Formats: sequence, structure tokens, C-alpha cells
Amino acid sequence: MPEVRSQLHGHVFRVLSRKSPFADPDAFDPGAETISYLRESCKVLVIGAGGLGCEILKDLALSGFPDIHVIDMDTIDVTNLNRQFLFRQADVGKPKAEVAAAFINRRLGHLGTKVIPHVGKIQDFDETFYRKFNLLIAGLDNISARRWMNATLHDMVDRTSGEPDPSTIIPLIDGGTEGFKGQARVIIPTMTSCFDCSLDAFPPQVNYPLCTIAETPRLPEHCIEYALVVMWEQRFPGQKMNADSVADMQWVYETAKDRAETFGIQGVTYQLTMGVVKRIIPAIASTNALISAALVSEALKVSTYCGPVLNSYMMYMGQTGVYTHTFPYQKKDDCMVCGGAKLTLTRPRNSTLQELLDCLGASPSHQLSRPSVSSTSGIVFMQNPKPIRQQHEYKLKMTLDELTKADPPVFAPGEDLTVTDPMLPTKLTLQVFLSDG
Amino acid sequence: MATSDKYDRQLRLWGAHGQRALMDAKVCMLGSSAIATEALKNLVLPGIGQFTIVDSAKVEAADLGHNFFLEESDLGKLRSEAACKWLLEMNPDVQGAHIDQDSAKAVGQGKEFFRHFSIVIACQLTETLASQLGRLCEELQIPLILVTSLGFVGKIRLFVAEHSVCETKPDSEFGDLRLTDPFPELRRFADSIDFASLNDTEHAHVPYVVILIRALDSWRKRSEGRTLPKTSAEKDEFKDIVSKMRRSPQEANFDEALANAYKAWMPYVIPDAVQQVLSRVASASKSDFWIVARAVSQFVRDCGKLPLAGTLPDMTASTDMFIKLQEIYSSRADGDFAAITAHVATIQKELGVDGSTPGEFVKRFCQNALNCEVFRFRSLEEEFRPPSVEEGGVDLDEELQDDDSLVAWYIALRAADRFREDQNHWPGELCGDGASDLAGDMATLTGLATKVLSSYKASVSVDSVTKMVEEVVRYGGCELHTTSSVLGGIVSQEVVKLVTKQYSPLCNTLLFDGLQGKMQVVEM
Repeated sequence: MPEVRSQLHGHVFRVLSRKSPFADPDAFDPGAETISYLRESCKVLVIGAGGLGCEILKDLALSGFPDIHVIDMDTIDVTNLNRQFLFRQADVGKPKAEVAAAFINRRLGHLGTKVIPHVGKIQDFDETFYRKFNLLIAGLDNISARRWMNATLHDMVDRTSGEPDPSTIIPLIDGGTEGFKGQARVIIPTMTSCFDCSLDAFPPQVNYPLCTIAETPRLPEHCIEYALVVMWEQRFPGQKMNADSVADMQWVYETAKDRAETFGIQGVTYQLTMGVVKRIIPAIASTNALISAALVSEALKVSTYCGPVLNSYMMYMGQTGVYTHTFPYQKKDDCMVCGGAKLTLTRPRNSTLQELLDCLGASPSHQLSRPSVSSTSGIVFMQNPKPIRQQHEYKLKMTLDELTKADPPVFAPGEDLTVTDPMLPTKLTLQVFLSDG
Repeated sequence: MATSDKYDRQLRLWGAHGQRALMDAKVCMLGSSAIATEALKNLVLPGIGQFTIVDSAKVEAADLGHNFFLEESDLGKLRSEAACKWLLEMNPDVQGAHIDQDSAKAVGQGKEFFRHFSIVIACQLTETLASQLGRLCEELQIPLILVTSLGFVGKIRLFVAEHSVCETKPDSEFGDLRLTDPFPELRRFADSIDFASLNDTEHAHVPYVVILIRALDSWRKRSEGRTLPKTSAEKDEFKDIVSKMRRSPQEANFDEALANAYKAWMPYVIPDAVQQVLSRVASASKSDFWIVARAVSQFVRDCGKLPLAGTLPDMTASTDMFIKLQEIYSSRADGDFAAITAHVATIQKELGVDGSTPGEFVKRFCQNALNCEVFRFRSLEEEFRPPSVEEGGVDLDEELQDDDSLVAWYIALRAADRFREDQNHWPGELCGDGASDLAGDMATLTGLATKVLSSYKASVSVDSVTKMVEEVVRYGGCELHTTSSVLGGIVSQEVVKLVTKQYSPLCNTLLFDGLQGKMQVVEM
């Protein structure tokens, strides 16, 4: 049996059995020991079983990784089928993680691969779960989940001795795609730049200003957005629009179409309505395949040292010829996650608390969603639960000057404030100084 | 309903007409290893019309370890047949077939074998065979993609005798607003706006197109016959005029006018790539692209400009003004389209191909005339007896001294090809794993790399590729799944671009270094 095994993995094992002029000679030990680490000890977690995730699972199994777990909370939709190749028409509606794992286990069972699915959110799992893995690969479609995962892995690094304990560092290999474009990166907590270091490099989400969509709509998108955010609420107060319901989508489409007609705007279609309402990003099989394979190629090198590791970011653009750029993404000294998690802001004395909170949300390098703040003397502002929020809402309109001079002061300039936010698993320290500007 | 369509996420990129082209395509795949199936996977999923896998290899144990489209029960069976079956299982819309034949035999059959395909992909072919296949594809006017996957590195080479595209879809577009020389309807509209009589809300909603046209009028009036701001002083002067027109710093339309001021001083030019297309119309074929290109060239001769695209980017404006402006641009574009259509009809008559060019295509050409381009590729024979730097060949001395260049891998892979032609196996394939076991192949491959280098008029020594040669011997012909999947991904992107005639293909060679996670496109 071992003989057959080694034949099955003949291609990978050859690379792992021979010296390389490119590999670090102190780290790479070609031969049986490296192979047995890959085959017997290495445990990998895949985050997401979608466009990237399906590919990553296949790539890991065919690179010799036998012990693979996958987390995904989603179910299969018909529009996944043009790229998520582990799913078929008959699987629509079933959990992605389970169907993907079952497919790989069926097709590649003879390789000794076992994929274990977890249906749920990444936030449902704690550190003891994540600590079981040697490596994480993320194929996520949103920024907030990637921030959470990135921050969690950084938080898990033990620094009690002063220096980060290498045995507690779990590398995160992260990728993303949009149409013909994609990127792959390797994050080694505390050693390389992290996901939050590059937060300001992501283009802000398209948001149509309310005054434009209400008063001077010009594009079909403006009419759809107005139908969705304003007219829906007027017609169905307190009821959420369900983007997966055909009836709801049809209502938004028809309402937007009527509105467009009264303004003489052309181009509202059902397809466009879906695109705007669901913020659809085009996705194709080829880009997902190449980015996923680039991630798993890094996983093989990170795990076995059989070659140098990507330093640290590769971007790919396939529309005009093929343009790629590989470069070390710089660590940000004041990164909220890996730069010591202390944030200093200088705000005008006469600006309000609301403006301070808005600033934390709007700043491209912070992008908090609903920050709550507390000081040594108590709550400055709390978003949840509602009764508590209401108790503190009166402060939102007060200036920072008033708050610091209140009796007793709500907080003191320069003191360490604690910020919590749904975007971050950990707490953030904030110092606010006041200026006369 | 179009939106419950499983192809929705790709239709948003290449449209229904792109999808039709994809569904009409017939792919010939020479080879059935992981690189072949990975590329085909990404074509079967989006609904390519047909594929045919050509290979006589049987499924071995090692195949099961790196090729997803095989099962344990396929061991010993024909690999092309097994792969075909599992690829088809993914998408019932696609047709697939296999032919029990190796690449050499297929190429040996000549044109007849390839005539019915719309594109050919060949995996792990050596030089002689690649050149022969290149010649066949050139005669048949079929695009060819060659791909090599070895260990952590690889290479993709495209060859198309001529590839013409109107929808190149560049990442950023200058657009065609005609600000420097407004056509009469646009001129009338710009003149009709009396800034002084507008209330503040209206004033803050005058589209920047109008602001810039009017600012340019003022600038010209005081600039004694100069037509466009050229020097930076003149440009500042122009921006100053725009700034003085605004009533308050809150007017977003004026911010946009200042940000787009360059559009008012860039003279109208027909881009070089389009000039190239227009200069070739006389000698070109009777394809739709060239018939319309010829019509466009006549149109340009008459009016000095390309047909107007007719699209207006979003800008701060009242609904009313924006819609009016949109109508002005689009009706002008309709007029240009009608003129081109008339030229097309005349040309078709002259050529005796009446009515063959669809109006939908003529329209798309007009909308994208500014971005149309024709791509030509160096033949493989030329690549293998490399042209000098003066003739447009690659500067090997410069490339091999540049740490960021991947061209050293090209030399090592070319040497490996020659090794395979001589010995019928890969360097390092039949040896043990120790350094002494590999020394023989290492010496042979170094000699071959020296020969490849000497075919270039370069002075650089073989030492600059020693590490790559050593690494190639290390790989011993192994094919890593991840490398094949990266390359298969790129190959399938290129196939989609070529068969839909959208976007720009890579010209002509892509080198992939999976050790560093780097890629480079070079014209070899």
C-alpha cells in the first residue's frame, strides 16, 4: 500500500525529495521527514466553499494534503454553477461546505484525503477550534469576514514572553477575485503585513448619495436604489426586502422601472436590478482557478519549505494582455491589528461625538461599522442593546469639549479609550486629543 | 428568465453575444494530463460549445494524484476518454469527444485533422512539433495556444496569424465627449445655457461637459487664436476660468469640471492602434471586422473623426439636463452609425458579400471604434531562430541581468524541450534523488542551455541560468497540480478572449515562476 501511495503522489513527492537551489537550505529537508509531515501531521482549514473554496479543496487534495476542514455558511445558488464545479443543478439549496466535502471525498478518496465540512459562520468558532490547524486558506467574498479572521489569528499569537511565540503563529493565505482580476497574498501574523494594513487599498463600496437618487436621478441604478431603500420602506414599513425572493425582486424592478419612465431614464432591466440590489460582482471559473491554485502553491511551500514563499502580495489583471505585479506589501506601523492596536486621533474641540464616530467609520484605514466607546469612567457611547443606546444618545450632539468638561467628565483628552466594533473580534485602544482648529 | 441563468455572473462580463461565440467554439486539446483538464474545466463550466481531447496515454497511478478528472476505477484506461467523461459530467450543455492518438500523430495528419476546430491548445509540445502545428494553424487561420507545466514553473505561448478586436474593453477609458470641437447639436445645447439666470440649485447641476465647453470658449476669446491650452501656464489659466465660474465651493459639478479639465485640452486624436487598423483595410480579408473597418476608414476620410461612441459617463447634473445631453450624444452616434451602415452596404456590394455583416456587429464596432485593435504574433519558427534586438527581438543580455526578469526560465525550459527531443524523456526524470544521480542530466542540460543562448546574439554566459537549469533537473518532468491549474486558468481566460473577440490577448509569451509567485509577459 505505501508503494501505491507514493506512486499516486509521485509528482509532489519528487519535488519534496530533491534539493532546490531556490529553497532555504536550513529550512528545507528533502525526503521522508518532509513527506511524512505533509501526509501525517499537517492540518489545513479552508474558509469558504464558493468560487475559490471549491478550487482550493481540489488543489489541496491533489497537492498531497490529506487532512482538510472547510467552513461555509451559505447554500448553493444556481448562479454558482458557472464556476463552483463541485456543485450540480440538483444540489441547489444544499449547504456548500457539505456538498463540496462530499464531492472531494468521493472523487479523491483513494488519495487518502478527508475533507470535513462545518456549516456556519467563522464567528461561530473559537480559538480552540482555529488552534488545531497549521494553516488557513481563505477564499472569502467580503472584507468584514477577512478582517475578522485576520484579527483573530493575530490575537491568537502568544506574546507573554515579550516576543511572539512562533508555535502560536498560524499563517493565513488569502485570495480574492473580481471578473478577470484577482489577488493572492501570504499573511504570517506579526511577521508580514496583515489584511488591515491594506484596508485603504480596497475601493470603497459604491454608495449612491440619497440626495442624488431622490432628487436628480440620472442612471437606471439610481432608480433601482431609490425603489430599494426609500419606496420599499414606504410601501412595506418595517419589513425587510428579501433579495432571494423573486416576488420582492420583481416589485423593486417594476417600481424602479416606473420611476425611470417618469424621468425619461432608460435601461432598468431585471438583470440590472439584481446586480444593484445584491451588489453582484462578476465571477468566472478561470480567474478563480488560477488564484486558488496560486494560494495552494504557497500552502505547499509554507508547509514544507520546498521553495521560497510569496513575498507577500500578487495581483493579477487579465483583461488587457496579462498584467501582474508581485511585491512585498508594507506593514503599517499604525495598523489597528498588527501595529499595536492603538489609535490616536486629533479632533476639533467643537466637533461632536457623532462626528468622531462617523470618522472611525468613514476613514479608509479604519472602516468600523458601529463602534462603541468606553472610558475609565464608564460608557461614552454604546450601540447595543437599544435601551442602553437610548440612554446615551443625548451625547451624540455634544461637542468633545463639552464631554471632557462635563461634571463628571465623560472622558479625558488623551486617556486610553476602549473601542469595540462588530468588524473586529478584539478591542481597540483609542486616544483622542482636542485641537482648536 | 435571464437572471436565474447559471451563466449570469459571466454574462455581466462578455454579454449574450460573447456567450453565443463561446457556445459556437470548438476546442481541440492535444494532451490529457492535469494541465489539459484544468484548462478544459474552466471552459466546460462557462459553456464552451465542444471540445475534443487528443491523447493515446493510459491512466497511471501518478495521474490519479494530480488530475482531478480521473477516478480510481479509470486506472489503465484511455486517459483522454476518462477525462472527457468526467469533464462532461459538470455541464450538460457541452459536447465532448476524445481521439485515441498522440500529438505527433495528430500533427502528422496535417490540416485535415484541425480544419474543423476554432482553436487549438497543445500541452507539453517540443519545438519541432510546435513549429509544425504553428504552420498548420496559420494556414487554417486558427488560434493556437501552447502550454508547458513543469514543477513550479511554466510557459504559455499564443500564436494567431491575425486577431482583430473591437471590444478591447480597456481598464480605463478617456471617452469621446468632443469637448474641443463640439458637433452642432452639442454646441447649440451648450450655448443655450444662461448661467447668470440659473438659481443656485440649477447652477450646481449644470453638467461639467457644458462648463468645460463654455470655459474653453472664454479661454479662446482671450488667447488670440490659440486653440487649446498647451503649456502649464495656459492650463492654469483655463482652470482659473472654470473656478471663477463657480458660485460656491460646494458645487460638486465644478469639482468634476476641474478634475476633468484635461478632457478640454486634449486635442482629438485617433489612437495609434486604431490608425494601424485603418491603414490595413485595403489589403485585409472579407471578414465582418474588416468590412466595417473599411467603412470606418471611409467615414474618417470624409469627416476626420471616428464614429461617435454615444455614451455619456455619469456626472452631477439635473435629471433634465443629463437626459437631454444623453440624447444629444446618442442621436449623433445614431447618425454616424447610419452613415457607416451605408458604407458597409456599398462595400458588401463591391465584394459580392451582400448583407452578411450583422447590423448588431456594425453597431458594436461604432460604439468601440476608439478601442479597436489588430494583434499580430511572431511565428514559432521566427521565435526559434530569434530575431535580433534591432528586428524587435528580445534583449537577452538585459533580461538575464535583471533580477526581476523571468526570461532565464524561458532559456531553461527551451533547453528542457531540446533534451526531450533528443532523449524522449524529461531531464532528471529517470534518475535517483541525490545530487550525484542528477549530475549527468545537469551537465547535458547545461550544454543545451548554452546552445539555446548562443542562438541569440547575446554575450551573457550560461552561469546566469544555472540555478534555473538545476531546478528544471530537480523537477524531473513532474507536473504539480497547482502549477497546471494556474496555467490552465490563464489559458482558459485567453481562450475566452480569443473566441469572444473581446479584451486583449497576451502577446505572445507568459512565463510563470510559482516559486516567487511571479509572472511576466514577453514578446519572444
